[in-house]
Amino acid sequence: MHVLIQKLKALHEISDEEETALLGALEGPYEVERGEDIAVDGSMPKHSTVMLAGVACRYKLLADGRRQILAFEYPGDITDIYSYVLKRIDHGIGAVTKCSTAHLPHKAITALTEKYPNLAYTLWRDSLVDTAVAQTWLVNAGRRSAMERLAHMICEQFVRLSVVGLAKHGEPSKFYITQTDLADASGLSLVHVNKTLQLLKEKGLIGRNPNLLEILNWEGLRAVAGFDPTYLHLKGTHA
Amino acid sequence: MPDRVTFQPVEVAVAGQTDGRLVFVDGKLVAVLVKLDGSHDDLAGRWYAEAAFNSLERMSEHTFADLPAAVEWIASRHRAKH
Repeated sequence: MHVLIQKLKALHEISDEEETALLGALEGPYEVERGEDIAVDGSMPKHSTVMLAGVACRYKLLADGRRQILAFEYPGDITDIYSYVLKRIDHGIGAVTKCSTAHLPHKAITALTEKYPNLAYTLWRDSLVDTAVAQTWLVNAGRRSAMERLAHMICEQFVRLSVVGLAKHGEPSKFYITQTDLADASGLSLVHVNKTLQLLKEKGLIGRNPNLLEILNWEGLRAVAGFDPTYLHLKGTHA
Repeated sequence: MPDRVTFQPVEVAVAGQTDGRLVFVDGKLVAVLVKLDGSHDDLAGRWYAEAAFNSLERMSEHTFADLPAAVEWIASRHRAKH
C-alpha cells in the first residue's frame, strides 16, 4: 500500500475509488538532499508536498540564525496541506535526511475534495492532527524536563513511523535524526541533548548506537515521557 | 570594563562529569561551568555552562576550549550590553 494511503487510513477510512483518485493526482517523485528546503519560508507553492521517504522538519529561523524545529515529518505525511488554504508558507520545511517527495497540486486538491467529501474530511482530520502535535510539542517545551521531552519525542517518532510500517517493537529503525536536529526541536543545547540521551541509554530505555532509533524498553520510555498517543488521533486508539 | 571574572572550583552533581567552576563577575555568581567528559566525543575536555544567569542565559549554546575563552565570551556579552 502507498505510504500516503497507509498514513491517511490510520486516521480515517477512505474508499478504493478515493485512494485511486488521490494517488493518480500525485506528481514526482522528487529527491531532496539533506539540508535543502522542501518548501521555502514565505513562498507560495502551487502544490502541497507528500513525504515518500526520509525525514523532514518544519522550522523557523530567527534573524541571527537560531533555528526552532516545529515538527518532524515522516513518510506518508503531507508537510503543508495548509498551503492549499493559506497560500503563503509561514515557515520553512527542510530535509533532515535525504528525502523523496511527491507533489499534490492544489488544483488537484480542489477537484478531489469537490468530488469526494470524505477525502476532504480525511485531509481536514490530518491537518488537525498536525495542530494537535504542535500543541503537544508546546507542552513539551514549556513544562517537560529535558529527559521527559526527549523521551516524548522518541515515543512520538516511533508511533508515527509504526503507522506506516517503518518501525516495529524490538527492531531498530534506520531513521536517524542528528543530535543537532534534536537540540533545535527540543530547545535544549547540543550538550544537554547528548547528556540526556546518555541518561536514557544508561537506564536501558534506548540503544547505544547513535545511528539508530532503538527502543529497548517501550513501557519504561513511555513512563518517563508521560507519553499518551491520544493526540495522534489514530483509529483504534479512540473514535 | 568593571567586570572582574573569577572562578571557584566546585563539584557539580551532573551525570558523567563533576569538575566544575562557579563563575563570578565582580563577586556575583553568574554561571556554573562543567568540564565535559569523554562521553561528549569531539567536545570532551571543553567547558560548558550547566547554568548561567541573566544576560549570560545563552552561554549554554556554546562550549569553551578553556577558561580564558569563557572569560572572553562573558566580556563580549558585557560589551554588547553597553
